[in-house]
Amino acid sequence: MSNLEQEIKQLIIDSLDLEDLSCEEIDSNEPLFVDGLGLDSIDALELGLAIQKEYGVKLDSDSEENRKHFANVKSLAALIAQHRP
Amino acid sequence: MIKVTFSVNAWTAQSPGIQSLDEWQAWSEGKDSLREATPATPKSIPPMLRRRLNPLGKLALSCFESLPEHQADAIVFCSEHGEVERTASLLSGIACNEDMSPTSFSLSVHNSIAGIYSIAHNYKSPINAICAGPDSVFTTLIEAYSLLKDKHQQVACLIYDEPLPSMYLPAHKLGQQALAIALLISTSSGNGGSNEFELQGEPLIKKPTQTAQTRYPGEELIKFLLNPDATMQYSSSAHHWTLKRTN
Repeated sequence: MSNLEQEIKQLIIDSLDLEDLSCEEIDSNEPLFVDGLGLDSIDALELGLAIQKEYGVKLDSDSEENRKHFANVKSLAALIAQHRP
Repeated sequence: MIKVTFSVNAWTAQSPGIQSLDEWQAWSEGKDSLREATPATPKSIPPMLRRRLNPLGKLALSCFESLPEHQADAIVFCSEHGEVERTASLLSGIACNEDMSPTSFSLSVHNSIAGIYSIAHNYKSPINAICAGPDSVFTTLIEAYSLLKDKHQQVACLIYDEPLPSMYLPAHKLGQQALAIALLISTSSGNGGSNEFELQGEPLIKKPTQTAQTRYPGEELIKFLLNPDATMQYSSSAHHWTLKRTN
């Protein structure tokens, strides 16, 4: 697992108050929303903000691509690696 | 003048480190020993919803859970300031030009704790959230009485508040610690038992000159509930309230 994926898992836990969860319990390929980790739409907004703060990657709120980027930890890592200033 | 009577079938209160009747009794007698305050955990709220509660919300719902098993066909939530820590931190963020947390924003409404409770318990009966300044505790009892008059058999009340963040001091002082009180109320039997109560409220014609609120009615309510001989008197800027047992 890449360092970036590890960092993103920690960011998810910290920004979404998932204090009962550890990084090891989040699978990089597991869906983040609904099934899988079970996050909801407020979490999506919160995570978007946390990524912007941490990595300077600003997400376009209207983009159809967001669903793809937010699919799992791996896709988020790819997005951040590509757009990190 | 308002005068209502009702029965208190059960009550319970919780504060960080104070939970049992004995601990509350010691607290009311000023025998405050050093308490270890473990954070409250409302076990009936699933973890994915529980994470949306701040410490006051956890305390309030944990207190509510400690009521005896019951059937309440309405709930009145009551708080003077709600989750004021959350609101204050959002305001500080705005002042510093920070982006606002969507989660905090969505939860910074007065009925967010009631909302989380109703989602977790699939509770579909009426829920009200009362916020009436220093009159809140008393107007909550009147609201419960009104619901009983409207064919509800038993109404639960959940009262909770926490000390205000320092930026609001000294204009307002609200107790020393976070506090939650849960009561189960039904129509008075008229038998004059020790759990039969009468609440009386009179409008204050001559308004008191002092503006700072220094006594938190929630703390006084606990002292009153603990002591069978007590009468509770409280004056807000608009009303004088008297709560007593009818026996």
